[in-house]
Amino acid sequence: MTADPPAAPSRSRTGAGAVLSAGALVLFSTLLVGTQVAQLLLRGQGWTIDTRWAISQYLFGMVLFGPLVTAFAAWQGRALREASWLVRARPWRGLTTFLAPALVIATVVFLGGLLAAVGASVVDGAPLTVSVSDGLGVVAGLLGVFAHAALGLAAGARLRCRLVPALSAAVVFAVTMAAWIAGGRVLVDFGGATGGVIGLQATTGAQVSRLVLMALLTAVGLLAARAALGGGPPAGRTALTWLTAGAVVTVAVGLSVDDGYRTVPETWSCTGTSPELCVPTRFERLLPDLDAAVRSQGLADQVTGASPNAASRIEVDDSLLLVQVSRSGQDAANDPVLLERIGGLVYNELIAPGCLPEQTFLDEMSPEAQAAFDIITRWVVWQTAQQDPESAVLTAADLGVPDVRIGSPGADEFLAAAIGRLPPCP
Amino acid sequence: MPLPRKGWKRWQEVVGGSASPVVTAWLADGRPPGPYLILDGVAVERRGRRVVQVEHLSIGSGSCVLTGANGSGKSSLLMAVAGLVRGAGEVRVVNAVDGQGRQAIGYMPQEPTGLDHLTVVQAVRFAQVLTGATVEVDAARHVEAVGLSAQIDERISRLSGGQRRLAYLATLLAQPASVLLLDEPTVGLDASHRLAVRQVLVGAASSRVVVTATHLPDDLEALGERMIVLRRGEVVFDGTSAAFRGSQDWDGALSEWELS
Repeated sequence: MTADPPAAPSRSRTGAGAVLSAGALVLFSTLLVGTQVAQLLLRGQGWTIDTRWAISQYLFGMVLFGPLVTAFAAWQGRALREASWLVRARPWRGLTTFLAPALVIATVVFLGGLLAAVGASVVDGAPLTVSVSDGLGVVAGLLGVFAHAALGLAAGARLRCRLVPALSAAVVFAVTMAAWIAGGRVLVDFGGATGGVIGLQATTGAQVSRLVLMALLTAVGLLAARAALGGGPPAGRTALTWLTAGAVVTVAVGLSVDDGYRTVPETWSCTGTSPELCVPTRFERLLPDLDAAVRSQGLADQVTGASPNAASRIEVDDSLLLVQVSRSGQDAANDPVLLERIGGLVYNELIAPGCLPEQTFLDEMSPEAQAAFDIITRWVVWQTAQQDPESAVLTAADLGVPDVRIGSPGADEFLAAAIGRLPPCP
Repeated sequence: MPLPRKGWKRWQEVVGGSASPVVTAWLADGRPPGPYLILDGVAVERRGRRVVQVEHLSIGSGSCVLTGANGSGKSSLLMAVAGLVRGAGEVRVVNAVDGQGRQAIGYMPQEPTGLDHLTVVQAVRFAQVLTGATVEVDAARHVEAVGLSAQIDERISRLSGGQRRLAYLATLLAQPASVLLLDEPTVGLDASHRLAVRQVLVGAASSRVVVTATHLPDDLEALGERMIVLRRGEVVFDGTSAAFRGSQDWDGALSEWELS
């Protein structure tokens, strides 16, 4: 024990980084980044055509990202428990110090992935249109990261099992799946994975339920972790009880509401031709290519001209069709898959009962109208299948429809007769 | 009476007329007391059974050994004082030098872990930051104090068992605690490391309250400036080791504890 001046330490780790081993840092960072990269690159990338869709689909990734965050935080919770003899002097500071690495890394990866998703859609030409609802969805997702982290920390701090990171992740994933199945989707549905988000957005009630639940779960997790360190004030236990009760009530409320989505009014950009072709304004850049493909296919023009019962306006809200237009670009008019899909679009938008608000009209139609509708359906399917050689396996005779092609006088006569027997589109 | 120090004033406010004879003597000397650990009515229950029941203890700066057979309540009492288990009663530290409240008490379990992935100096610095040490003592000096200067940049996980214990002891010394509680700090160590740990604790006891739970005879000899003997959670002896030798069957007690 000499009094010589001490040697200067070669390295310094005194902050939050000191409570995370290099192995854990590499393992969990790789898992978190890998999951987000995988969901950006390995799943269908149609979402790049729309920033709202990109955000929504990205937030759906919370289903996997959340449990990984829980596992990471549970790992830190175990470390916190091991160091409880040290952190007991300043429990809250110790708790936040141990939680910080998991929370910071998870938040950075989460927000980084979100920026990447939005950036990809902007690069793809999508305008940056983010609604208040989208913003609240991001906030809920961020709070979801916090909640998963806080609950994981509590599990790691309270349970002695060495496998607590893996177990807590499995439990969180199972609970999430159970909520989807058992009617509690509104509580865990941070975003949608499919293209059906166009024209839909989460209701205010659903957003508030998620925000409140995630905030409560975060608080519950932190207080439970604090309680695990021992010696907490009685007020802490009381608060934990009340917050847990609040979370339960919020879950009950969430279970009692519907799927939590509502249709929102769209603004449309149209061609001004007949039939008029319209897309949501944020897809306006795709309108020329789509219009070229629709004109090239010819069915829309022929249907509109065949009978006054046909509609004269097509509102395109089929996100997958728009994706196909985006992918085909100036070759859209020659894309057989797209042309086949346009057949379905014309059928749905211009010909009754597809154009009618409720499909139940079909049952109320006369037998004659039902027969007309049936043969039109089969003819359109057959016609559009001809435009994709790989789909053209059936003949007109196989389907019992006249062997007349789009654009021919025979098709004009057939459509005029058949559509004339249907109720008019509104 | 002179000594209008802040700590002194607090001491008078807190202790008032219930000071122990030792403190009374100090008061008569006119010396300011060092840090003091005071326990009042401390009780711990486990599974409905009371394992600790201490009516009153005042422990001043210096080295104090808490001893007794296995299961006598030593560890439970230390953990209750450290705030790691829920217990009844009151624990106070008066005239603390640096840290206040929980920070005034430092605790080290028998097998400390949690910072094994850090180097020795990193662990010490982390302990300083985490516990809010305001007294500026370079982390390296604490490492030096436990004789690990040569291993200052070694990861704790790569040290031997004895060195590891010393490294964690350095993290304990680095805390702004006026009271240090150690649970069996020399168990499982070889002779040289036991000696090193005792030397460190004796050094620390010059300015702090050092309470060491142990039942090893060598520890009792080296650290037992004052001995508190527990049996079934209650204090059955409190005095100097010399007095204990005079009042008890010393050899018999040691045999009983070691056998237990």
